[in-house]
Amino acid sequence: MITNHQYTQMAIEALIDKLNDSIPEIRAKAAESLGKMGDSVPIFALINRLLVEENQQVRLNLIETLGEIGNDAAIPDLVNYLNVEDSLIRITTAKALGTIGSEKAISYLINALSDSEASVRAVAAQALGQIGSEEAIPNLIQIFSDPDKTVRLQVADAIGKIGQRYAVA
Amino acid sequence: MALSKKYLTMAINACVQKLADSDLQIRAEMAKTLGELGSEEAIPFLCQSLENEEIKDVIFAIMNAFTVIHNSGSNQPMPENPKYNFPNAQNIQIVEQTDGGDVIAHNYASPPNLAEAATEIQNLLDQLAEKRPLTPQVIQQEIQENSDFKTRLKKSLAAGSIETLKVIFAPLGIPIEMLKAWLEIES
Repeated sequence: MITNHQYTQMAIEALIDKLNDSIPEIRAKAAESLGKMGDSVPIFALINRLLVEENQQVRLNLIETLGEIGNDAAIPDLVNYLNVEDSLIRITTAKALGTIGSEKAISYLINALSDSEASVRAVAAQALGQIGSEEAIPNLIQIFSDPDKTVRLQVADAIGKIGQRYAVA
Repeated sequence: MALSKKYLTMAINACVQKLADSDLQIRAEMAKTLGELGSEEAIPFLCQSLENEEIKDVIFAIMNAFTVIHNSGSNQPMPENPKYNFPNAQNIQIVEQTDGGDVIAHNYASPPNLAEAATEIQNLLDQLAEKRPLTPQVIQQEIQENSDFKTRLKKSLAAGSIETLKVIFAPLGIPIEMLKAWLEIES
């Protein structure tokens, strides 16, 4: 682990600079790398880039990194990406919200349980399981009869996870 | 087990010098090796290279090195003598959104005595120039022989005025990496 905060900041700043590189691959790599630099990465730099970014891979990496940083201040901006046309972006967003693990995202993920795309519904269920709040249970049960098997399995898994969390607590 | 300080510094210095190699494969490999050495002391040098680097594969190698160092448990330097110390640093974060939609985010550490340090170094160089023409060799020699000069340069570097030193030394044919290496090797 880096012990000198100043060094971490230096590396993070250098990577943030590259979020605005003209080459998408470099932006993507910078975004991905920032996800491995710990929770002191300023999320607004990532969000600002995300808002203007048009390259799919870069957007995916930015969203994933926002999940890894785990700062729930990113949630109000992230949830918008549950409603975009690109289903891969919706999946990655749901996953990131699960990784952040904040109850602030619950209502948005519950909406995503009725996404037209089965893989989005499955990941939304999984994310709700990760957040682990019992208030999601009624909505999860509602899609127990989902036509897609993966979704049904994820729902069961999520309910199990929530149950375990309360059993321990 | 961590490398001993002596060998770690030796290895870092050697790799840092080659970070500016003309062969891109060498540059990428040096970045990778600095990552593997796992010492955060390499970060300022890697940042410098990243700024100047234009080859994608080398850029990737440098970025990887950051994350590898950040997540490495060993070979962290000795806290008793930090090479980069920013006693007066205040982090200033500026985010601009241009009309083209590009967002530019910068973090600046801005010590108050930055301009002062730059003037001081420029004066020392001017004095030196009166005696001898300012070639890289002359400056390297001066760093070796004049401990006051070296200390001032180090202080300036520690104060975060890398950009200023770059502006002063680049026209003399001395890249900042080289200057840093000189200052480090002599310590």
